[in-house]
Parts: sequence; C-alpha cells; structure tokens
Amino acid sequence: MPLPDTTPLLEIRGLSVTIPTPEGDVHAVRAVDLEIGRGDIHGLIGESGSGKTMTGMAMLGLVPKGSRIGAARFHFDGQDLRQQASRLRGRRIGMISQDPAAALNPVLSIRRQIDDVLRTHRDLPRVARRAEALALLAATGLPDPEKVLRSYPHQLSGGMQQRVVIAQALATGADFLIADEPTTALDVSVAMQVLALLRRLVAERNLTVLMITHDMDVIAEACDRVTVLYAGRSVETGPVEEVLNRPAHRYTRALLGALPDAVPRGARLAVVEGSFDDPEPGPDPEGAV
Amino acid sequence: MTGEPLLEVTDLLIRYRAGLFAPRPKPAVNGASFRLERGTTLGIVGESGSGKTSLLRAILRLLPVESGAIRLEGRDWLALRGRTLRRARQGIGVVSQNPFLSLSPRLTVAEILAEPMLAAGRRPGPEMRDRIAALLSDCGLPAAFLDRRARELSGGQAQRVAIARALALEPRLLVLDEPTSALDVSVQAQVLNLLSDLKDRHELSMLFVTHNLKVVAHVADNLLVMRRGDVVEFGPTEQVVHAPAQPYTRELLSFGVHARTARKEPSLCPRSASCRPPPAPLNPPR
Amino acid sequence: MSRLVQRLGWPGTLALACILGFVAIGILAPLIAPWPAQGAGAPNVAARLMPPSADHWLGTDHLGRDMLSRLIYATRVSLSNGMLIVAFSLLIGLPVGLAAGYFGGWVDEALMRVTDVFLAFPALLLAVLMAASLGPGFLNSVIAVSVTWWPWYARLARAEGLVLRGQPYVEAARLAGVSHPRIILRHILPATARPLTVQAALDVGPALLTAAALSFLGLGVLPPTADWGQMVDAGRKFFPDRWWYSAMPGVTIFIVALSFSVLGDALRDRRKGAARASA
Repeated sequence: MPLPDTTPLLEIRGLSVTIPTPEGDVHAVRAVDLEIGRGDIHGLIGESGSGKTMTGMAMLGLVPKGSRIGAARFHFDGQDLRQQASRLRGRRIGMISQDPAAALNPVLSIRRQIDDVLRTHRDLPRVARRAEALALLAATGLPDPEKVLRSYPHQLSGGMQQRVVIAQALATGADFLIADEPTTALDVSVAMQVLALLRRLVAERNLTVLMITHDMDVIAEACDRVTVLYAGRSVETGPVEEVLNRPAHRYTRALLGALPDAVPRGARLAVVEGSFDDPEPGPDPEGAV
Repeated sequence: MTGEPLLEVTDLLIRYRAGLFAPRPKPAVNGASFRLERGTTLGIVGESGSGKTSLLRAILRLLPVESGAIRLEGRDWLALRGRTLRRARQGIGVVSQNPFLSLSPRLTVAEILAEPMLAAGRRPGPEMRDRIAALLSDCGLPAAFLDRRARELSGGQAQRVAIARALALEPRLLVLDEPTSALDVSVQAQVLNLLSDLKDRHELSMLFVTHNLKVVAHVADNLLVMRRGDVVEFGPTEQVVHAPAQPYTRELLSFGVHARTARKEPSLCPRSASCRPPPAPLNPPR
Repeated sequence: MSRLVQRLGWPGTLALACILGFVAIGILAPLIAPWPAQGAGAPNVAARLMPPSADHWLGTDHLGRDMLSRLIYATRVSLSNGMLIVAFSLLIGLPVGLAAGYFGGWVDEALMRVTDVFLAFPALLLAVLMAASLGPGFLNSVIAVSVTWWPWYARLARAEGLVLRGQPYVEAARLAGVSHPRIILRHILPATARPLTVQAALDVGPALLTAAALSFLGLGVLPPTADWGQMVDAGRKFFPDRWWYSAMPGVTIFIVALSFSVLGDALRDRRKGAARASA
C-alpha cells in the first residue's frame, strides 16, 4: 500500500496582491504565508480588509484585471498557481461562496445546472450523469434528491441551496474546495449542519478545504488548523486547539477577547487597538500591530 | 425595578394576509406576551422565520396586528394614530441593521442628526448645534464628522451616527434591530460597549433584536427566544442561558468557540475515517 | 470648464455646447439671419427653389425665402416648443406620480386610473383632438402635446416614489417622527428629480417631432411662422429634385435631437459614475 502523501497540498509564502485603482494601488494582500496539508480543513480568519477573500481569489486566478500577484512560493500540488490557476480552477480547485442563491442560476432547474457541470468536467453518458447527480445530492444530506433535481433554486431553502452548491463543487471532481463564508447567510442551526456536512465529506472523499471566514465560531466548529490574517498579513498559524486556547499573537488575543461570550455578562468587551476602522483601503497601516 | 413596565405586550397575534383563495396562513407571531421593565434590556432572539422581525415591526407600528395588546408607558399603544402617534414615536429611538441604508445618503451627519429635532418642532440655531455636537461626542465621534456623508464613514462610525440620531430626542426606549450584525467582531465590541455606556448614562430601556444568541446574552437582562412564531423562552438571561427549557435553545448555545472550550472538547475529531458527526440536529436538513 | 468635462465627459460637454449654441441662435435670430425679413416670412418669389449658392447658403424655399434665415427663425419656435412640452409634462406628471407612488392605497389607484385613461388613447390622436378643440397656435400645440406626454412621467415618478418609500432611510425618518411633506421634500423629491431630468432631456427630440406633426396637420404653428418640422413636411413635394428644402431642416432636427440625447446619456452616466466612485 502506497504511503500517504504528506507533502502539503497548498504552499504559499509571501503572497501579495496589489490592485490598481483610480485612487492608487490597493495592497489587498501584503505578506501571507499559508500551508495546507492534504485532507485538512484549514481556516482563514480575518476581519474586513484583512485580505482573506482576495487570498482565495488569487488561488483561483480571479483577481481584478491588472492586479499584480507576487509570491516567493505559490504552489498547488507542485504546480505554480501564478500560471496554472485558470487551468486548475474548476478541475482541481472548486469554490463555495457566501450567497448560495447568487451561485445558482435562478432560471435553470437544479438538474440542468448539475448536469452542465458534469458534462463539462466528467466524461459520462446521460444516464450515468443523472445517477451521479442524484448520488452527489444524496451525499450532501438532502433527503429527497429526486425532488431537488426537479426544483428551481427559489423553491429551496438557504441550507438546501448551499448543499446543492456543494454538490456542484463536488461534481467537478475537485479535491480542493475554497469555502468563502459559506455559512454567513445561513441561520445558526442550518450553519451547524452545513459545517458538519463539510467535515463528513472531507473525511469520506479525501477533500481538502480552505474555510475563509470572519466568524471564530465557524473556525472552532469546523477547522483543524487556522491562519489569522490582519491587514493583509498572516500573523498566526496553528492547530485550532492551540490558537483558540493559547493565542500567541496580540491581534488573535484581542480578537478572541472581543467575542461577546469571552467576558462575563455586562462586562466591557476587549477592544482591538488600532483596529481597521478606516472606510477606504488607505495606505499601509504600519505600526498598527 | 419596581413600578409599571415600560412596555407590556399581551397575546400579540400577527398574521400576514395571503391571496384571495389561499388558505389562512400560520401566524407570524403566535400570541406573544412579555414585559420590558424600565432601565433593562430585553433581548429578542430568533432565527429567520422566527417572527422576531414581525414582532419588532408591529411594536414600531409598521405592521398591522390581528389581535392582542401593547401598552407603552401605560398607554394603549395600538390605539394611537395620526399626529398623536407621530409625536409619541419621538419617545422611541430606532437603530437598524445597516447604517448605510438607514442613513440618508444625501445628507450630512449634521443634517441627519438635526432631522428628528426639526420634525419635533425645535428651531434650528446655536442650541440645536450644541445638542448635535453633544450627541456626537456622546457616541464617541469627533466633531469633524459633522460635514461628512454616510458613505465617507466606516461601518462602525456610521452605526454610531445612527445611534446618535436615535438618541436625538432623548427617548426612553431604544429599539435596536440587529445593530451589530453587519459589523466586524472588533467593531461590534466597541458598539456594544458604547450601548452599555449610553444605557447607564441616559437611563434607557432597550429592546435588542438579533439572531445572535451570544451577543444578546452579553447585553440583555432578560431574554425572549422565538421559534417559528412562538415564544419558546422568556426569562432572566442567566436562567435562559444556563438552564434553557428548550433543546432548541441549548442547541443554539452549543455552537462556537467558548462553547467548545467550556466543554473541553477538541476542536475537531481526529482526522480518521471513524470521525463521527455531532449528534443529529433537531431539525432535518433545511 | 474642465470640471464640466469631468462630470459630463467630452460627448456630453459638446452636446451641451451645441444646445446652448442653438439657444443663442434662437435668441439672436434677427441679428444673425442673413435675410431677416425672409426669415420672418416675407416671400421673394423670384428666387424660389434655388439650390445652395453664395447668396443663399442653404438655398431657398418655394416662396423664395432664404432657408438659412428660416431655419434660424424656426429655432425659436421649435426649440421652445420641444422644451416647453417636456417642462409642462413634468410639471403635471411628477407630482401626480410621486403622490401615487409614495402614498399608495386608494390615492395610487385613483391617480393611476386617471393616468390610464390618458394612456389609452394613441398619443398623436389625442394631441390632434386636443389641438383641434383648442385651435391652432403655439401655446395650444404645447398644451395639446403635454396632455399626452405627462402620463409617462407620472409612471416614472410613481416607480421612483414606490422604490423610495420602501428605502430604509425613509422608514427611519418616519420612525423618527418626520411628517410626510417633509419626507417628500427632503428625501423623495431630490432623488426623483434626477432620473426624471435625464428622461426629460432625452425626450426633447421626440417632443419636437410630435409638435412638428401637429404643425403639418395645420394644428400647430401656422405659416408664415417658421418651424423645422413644418419645413420638412412642406419640402416633401419637392423632394428629391430640390432636396435642400426638406434636408436642411431635417438635418437640423437631427442635430438638436441628437444633442439632447447625448446630453441625457451623459447626465445618466454621470449619476452612475458618482455612485460608483463613492461605493
């Protein structure tokens, strides 16, 4: 039996993304290091302006036109993402984003949409495609896949829509999923189910997931490891256990302290000093941390 | 707190009208009853479809009520109309979720803060300018913001302006609809601290509506938990949080960082094929 | 000047300049027309239907009058006709539509049914009926066309009013105790004015043409008063031999209508641009 591959699936060192705008360059990502092992669910946590979404976009090759990506190392499974991102996108790397209703075409039935994905990425005859679609929907925990297949997106609840989006991502055959705030638009109870689903799928199908979120609770519930981003830089990385219980970096400590259930009821919440309260992405907030 | 409650809601029933031939829909709010004592904060929590938003809008008289009573400061609130209602509304300050939507995009901060006062018949002049400056500083904003427009502010700053506006006429009741849901955690902390200070300083009573149980458990003296139109919990926060009557509430509380650390559970079961998902949720996949 | 270009872009600025140029021409007509008497209507039959020449740059019409002078004098009538029609229609349509959209309920129903009545008639037919009962003349033709135009603005204004009424900041103002009139004045009206002025600018061209149609039927401006549309129609029987008779006024209408169109587009894009810059 071959030894499991222990090389990291994703290796990023010193990633920077600079976006030109009429008002000047925006340094969305300044210096991010990220290493994700195969089969991990790796969380990327940061507040607005931290660069977390743009990091994910860079991996997919979906940065705004004219943006400059710089990195000492930017590899996915040994391939350089600076060149190969568009080739890997949809084949090896899939994405789940925040608003499932926006990710699904409102005028096409679910059957059509999953079928389109299967036809593009897999070489299966029609009957096999239908069977595969049903299997994928069932794998995401939907109780009546046949009915869902016949439905249109607006007939499904938010949680069900998100499961369909996950099924679509799986249909591509991707083994690496970037989940950008997948539960933010969902109720807590539904979010818990979706996160549990992702954990189960990761274990069953040998997937690797990058979970981008601003919500520490999501990290706690669903991730193995976490990287904390602040102002475009990665400031702390480690197993979730470690980072949540023994945060090393000041910002992580402050972030955890600002959570409402971190202090006794009625006590003041810790305020993150030098927090990014600037409306425009302005010049480099040096010295903030 | 002794004395009459500031707000008393009894058997409130709210039902949305369906089409001509559709069957009578289930009520959005199914006979809710609760009290808000003076000087306290009541948190109303629920997920989407719980009825908390309908309840809030009915209290704000934006929605018709099928049956039930609301008494505000001893008056029959639902009976007020027209100008009496408009004047009585000035005793309630409202803060909504998205300040960029609830603040007029065209007006400056000074104009936004002046608007309720002008509507109440106050004359513009040095007195009003002083009052506006006081409101700003009360909410931790510099005077330089007076000439800015909402789009020139950050989310936290804009929400502070919204809070300042809500306080313009010295209301006794502050109604907050998801005031921090659109804000980063660190900014949320600042705003929650601010609300706590304002409450003490101005002896406010607050109605805090949100889907975030953690936030509301932090700020509220009493909690009202709603689910699908029904009130499933009502009581002091301590009691609801530590001894919830409903498994639903317990489930909502079990999610997240401190819930896990409190239970001393590892963040994730070890990465092996035998990883078991958490106990089956109370609702089938939705 | 550069700020103007920045806000309107080059096409918009040029269009505005063109329109202002025509307005100037209209105001200064007697001073700049080469043959002012002919422009006002005096015939010169000896020189009838002559092609463009050194004396008459754009040729002459069937009564020998200098085309260029006629066009210049017609600027006053046609331009003001078009703009007045749009202005009157806005004056009626805006309040009707706003009231309907903002207040809703039976107010909306009542006002919209009235609007529907006007919309039920084919516009030109209704204009003709109005003009026929009012009689010919400049002001009457303006009134006749405005009567058929205002419902469109009412519809537009109603849509804006509806959308704005539902805006959270309007609701917030209501909750703060602000009265209806104040809300309409401070929040609704400014927001509605913008899309409506854009639409108005784009409509001047078509308004011009509608007025011209009335003139053709003898219900609008009567000869000898000059009017572009009327001149186009008068020149039809001499087309294509004496092509200049219809072509010159036709090209003028085209230029003016195009300028208003471009200006309207520029105004609309300026709003979008401003919105984008502040996002």
